[in-house]
Amino acid sequence: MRPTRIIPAFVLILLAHLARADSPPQTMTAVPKRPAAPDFTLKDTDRRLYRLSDSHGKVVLVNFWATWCPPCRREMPSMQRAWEKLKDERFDMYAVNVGEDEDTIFSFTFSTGVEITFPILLDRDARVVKAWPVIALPTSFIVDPDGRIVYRAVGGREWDDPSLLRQIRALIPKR
Amino acid sequence: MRSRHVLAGIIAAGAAVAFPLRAAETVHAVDAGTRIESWEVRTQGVSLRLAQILPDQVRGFYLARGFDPGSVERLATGACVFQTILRNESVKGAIEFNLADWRIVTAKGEQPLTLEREWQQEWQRRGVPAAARTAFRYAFYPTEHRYEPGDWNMGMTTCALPLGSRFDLRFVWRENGARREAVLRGVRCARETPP
Repeated sequence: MRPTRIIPAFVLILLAHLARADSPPQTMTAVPKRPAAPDFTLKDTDRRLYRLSDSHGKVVLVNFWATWCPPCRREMPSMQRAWEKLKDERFDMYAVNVGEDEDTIFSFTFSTGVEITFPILLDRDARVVKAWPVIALPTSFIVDPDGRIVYRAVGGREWDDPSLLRQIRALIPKR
Repeated sequence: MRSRHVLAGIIAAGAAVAFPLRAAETVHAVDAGTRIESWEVRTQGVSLRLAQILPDQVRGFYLARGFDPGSVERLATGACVFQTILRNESVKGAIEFNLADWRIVTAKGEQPLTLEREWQQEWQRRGVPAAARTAFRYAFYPTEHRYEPGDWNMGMTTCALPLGSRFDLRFVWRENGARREAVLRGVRCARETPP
């Protein structure tokens, strides 16, 4: 191959590598055997009751978080952006707060400068988080329309990243 | 001939930037505002970062979560506390780790980290409320985990050394069953107030 062709090709590979190093790929991991998602009934910050099994027929993002957890705080605005892109499709999003009260959560959501419009659910006694395969916060799961856990993500993500939205949309039933 | 030299030069320079040598060098940083120190190493598709947590930060965090002052003091001044971030930056596959395998290395020898279960036993003995112990459990770095590519997390780790002590941390993980290790060098426990 002539150098005039090799150089641009090498530069392209180099740039692709550097881009990947600077912004790590946003990934979710397929969960083997797609286990049933443990059902829960929790109140949100407005004391409305939500039951996971009521979302049957929809794809659900279930995110476990706490206000004191820096990656949880950082990913919340991207969750809102993802919610705005997906809320009109057959999709629900629940951010399950572990162990904190309404006042603490309100202080945090106010401080983000972003209006959070998806339900933030209160797991005050950590009963729900212990029923899910959560070892650390944040951990998020994608539940398919049949109520099975399809994907898992440990640590914060940019939830409006096109690759993640594509993975979620692929599960959403077409009307 | 000249174009071949140019090509070789570009490839060598690019490779040096994109594919650095695997020698795992510890990068030390000091926050200009807080004077809090951190250490980071990136090697073999994994990165590990430790940042000091000051005793006052430990007090503030755990007093607000239902710990009694005596128990908080036990943690704040009886141990070195670090904010710890471990990432699987590899595109190849999952990594698994167990903090019980990690070692603190000082001139006097090696010692393990103080793990979450050991603290939980102490909190139970001291009568720390269940809600506070739950907060501790999720704020602490998990003892064992499996990170798929792109997974990462942040949490506290501790070791039983006096405040201000210096040590190396030998950390270990497994990738496809193969044991890997690297060393974070020159880590220093926080002092009561930063220098």
